[in-house]
Amino acid sequence: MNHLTDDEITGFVSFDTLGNESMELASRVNYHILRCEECRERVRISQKLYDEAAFEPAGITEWLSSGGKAEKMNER
Amino acid sequence: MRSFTDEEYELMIYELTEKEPASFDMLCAIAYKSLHNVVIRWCSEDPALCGRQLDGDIMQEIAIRLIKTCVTGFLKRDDRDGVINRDPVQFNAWMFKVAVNIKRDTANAQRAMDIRTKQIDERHGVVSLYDDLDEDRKEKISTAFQIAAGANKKVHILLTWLLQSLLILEYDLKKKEATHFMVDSFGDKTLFELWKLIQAYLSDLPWIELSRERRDCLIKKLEKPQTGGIQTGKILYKDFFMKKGGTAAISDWVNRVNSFINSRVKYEPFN
Ligand SMILES: [Zn+2]
Repeated sequence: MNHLTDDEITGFVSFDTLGNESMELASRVNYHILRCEECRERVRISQKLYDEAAFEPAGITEWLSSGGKAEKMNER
Repeated sequence: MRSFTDEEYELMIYELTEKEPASFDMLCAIAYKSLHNVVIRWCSEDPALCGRQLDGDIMQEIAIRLIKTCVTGFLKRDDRDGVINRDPVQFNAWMFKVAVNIKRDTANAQRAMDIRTKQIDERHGVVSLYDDLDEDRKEKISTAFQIAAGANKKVHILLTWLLQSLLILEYDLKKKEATHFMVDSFGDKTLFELWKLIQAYLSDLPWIELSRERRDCLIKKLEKPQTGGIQTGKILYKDFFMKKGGTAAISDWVNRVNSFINSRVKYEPFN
């Protein structure tokens, strides 16, 4: 069983529409994290960071957080 | 009180825990049955929510939250030692708690937006709150605009990104506030009018460079006739976002342009 990639986890904790793509990812991630404690913990931590970030003032939409996120993530 | 049957609950647990990959049909159906009327009542009673037709948005937010946290927040919460929680009473309580939190966040965001909107109305021709951005950040933003305007996407999507980014820059709005602001304020404007507005904002922020070539390309897209002969630029903005679900559509378009920018700049100046 392959563990989830960082991209999969980021995509999962940040999706905000019920489209086909996000549902397909959510189905896969939920199936995995129900069975894998390690990835479950990674998702839990990412979700927490993402939720906290949502309350910080947004820069210029998510793009800025892409430039900013890399810096911010390094700081953590 | 529960609004779902034992059979429905069993099916939901099966879909979430055994089906590969997991599916959320019954989870969403149960959420809708249990919460939709409650949400409608909240939207008519809470002063921050009423009269804004937010029940659809709130229901969607709730569904997304349930899907994202059904494992970590309920089925295998970290205090359960890895044992799956199958208790329908606890599930019901958890689902309502999620809904109440979403309602609270939405009402807070709405109140913040009302204050901002009022400030915008009062300020007219405001001084940008981002005047003190450092040069490095300005350069990054400018590059993002240049990339976004050249993305191979429909023109209403590009205008949405440009306008939302400019609103955020000019008025220090949060992304969600900007989205609601756009639905409320720009629905009855044509795409040509939006483009004019974008140009006006851009002239206030001269450090954002949008090349002649990019501007011409946008204008060309606006002048292009749609099936039926009407120029794209003469169509009302709401005709694009209404049929796709209002604020959800706008946030989806912005996200799509954002991911395009992210994919383009991954190895370039931003890292
Ligand atoms: Zn794993």
